[in-house]
Amino acid sequence: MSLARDTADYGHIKTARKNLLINGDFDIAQRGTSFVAHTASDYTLDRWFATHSGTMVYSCFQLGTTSDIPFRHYHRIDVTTADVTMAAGDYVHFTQKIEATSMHHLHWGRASAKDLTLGFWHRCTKVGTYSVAFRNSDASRCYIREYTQAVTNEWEYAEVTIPGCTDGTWLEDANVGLVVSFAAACGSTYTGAADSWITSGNVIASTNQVNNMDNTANVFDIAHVQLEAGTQATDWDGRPVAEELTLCQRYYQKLYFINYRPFGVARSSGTPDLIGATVTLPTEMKSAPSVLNTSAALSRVRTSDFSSTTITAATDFFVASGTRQIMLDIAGEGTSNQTYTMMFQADTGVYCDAEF
Amino acid sequence: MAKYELRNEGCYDRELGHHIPDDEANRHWQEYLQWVMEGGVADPKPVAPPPTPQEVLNADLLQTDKEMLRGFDWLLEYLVGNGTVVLADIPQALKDLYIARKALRGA
Repeated sequence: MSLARDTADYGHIKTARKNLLINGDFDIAQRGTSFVAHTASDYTLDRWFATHSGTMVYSCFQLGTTSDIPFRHYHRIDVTTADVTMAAGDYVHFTQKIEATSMHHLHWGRASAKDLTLGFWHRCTKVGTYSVAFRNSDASRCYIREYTQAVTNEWEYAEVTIPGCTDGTWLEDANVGLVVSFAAACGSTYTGAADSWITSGNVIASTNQVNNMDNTANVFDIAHVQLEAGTQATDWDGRPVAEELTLCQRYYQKLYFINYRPFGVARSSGTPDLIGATVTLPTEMKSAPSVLNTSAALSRVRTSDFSSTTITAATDFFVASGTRQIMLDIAGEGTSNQTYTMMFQADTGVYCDAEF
Repeated sequence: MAKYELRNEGCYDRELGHHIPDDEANRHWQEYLQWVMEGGVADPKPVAPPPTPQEVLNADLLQTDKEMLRGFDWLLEYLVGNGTVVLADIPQALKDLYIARKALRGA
């Protein structure tokens, strides 16, 4: 088969799965859609987190639009307590960390490193120069590109290209590969020159970055973010929502349990703390997740005589987690070689978090 | 009471309600290790309370119930078979059970 034939038959495949960012259209919101008085570094919509240092307070939202623009949802940072004068160490940025295993084809850290292009929509209250930062895992390589909000509170499209980084340490395993950050404001400690790879200092924004956190009327909206290899932003890579959700679940997922419906069988082994029922996760996670139970009581019912043990506090049951399953357990009761069914006593969610 | 409590595998974050695995790739475990480096000391792993005497007794009875029932079957069969016990003398409920179990065995 000739190269020409290859290109003719399979050329369209190159346009698929090109977005290195997950949930770039902000459709997936497993944690919720509203994050009032957002806590620093907490994740908001799937795969994205907003973080800050300083006295400013803001809320984050997934908001929808039916305007004649090419997306349904966007992410908003809404200022509720202004920080008029940013101290040197202050900042606010909205970030996604890309897993290094998704970047092998870019050859970063080698001479053949490929360029990247970021296309996105933005709507900020304050007009002027904004920054987007690209950093490696230890921020020993940083690249800043600027974009402009020309008209207040109007959707505008931006496209920036950065050259592939040919040196430095770029991880290749299931750790952080590339960090992409949109700065809403930034003090002098974390600013640097745009348009070149910076090898000293953790830089989030250019020295021209405006302070969009200086008024409680300000918002910082981002939408339809796509990062792809090459020097041109191409059409939106619209993945089906089920596929996008699965990609998100590698990092965060919610399990649902119905009240009094057994979800597993446990066997006592004489070592009480190791008794537990295993729940298989629908998607293998990046690493063993932290596990959070909302509050529902967990019950263990002995199958031989239906005697039950119930624990009402999440602090009092045990969890062991792996990338493919978690094990839930109530502490033992001193009876070996018995079988138990495990169930929650109310509809509940169990949240598994393996984010960076 | 410390922020963290040790568990069999990893620890429990009392403030966030997270069960945290001892996995270096887990960001909450990384935060815990940082907390330890800064001088934090987690509370020890909770120990399950020992079973009460009644629970021990119940467990022992449960373990022996099945064997006891098999022994009772054998004993009753033996006593009825050699004429020591007349079926009519057995209380009705026990007699019904004996007949039912005998039918189940196909005897």
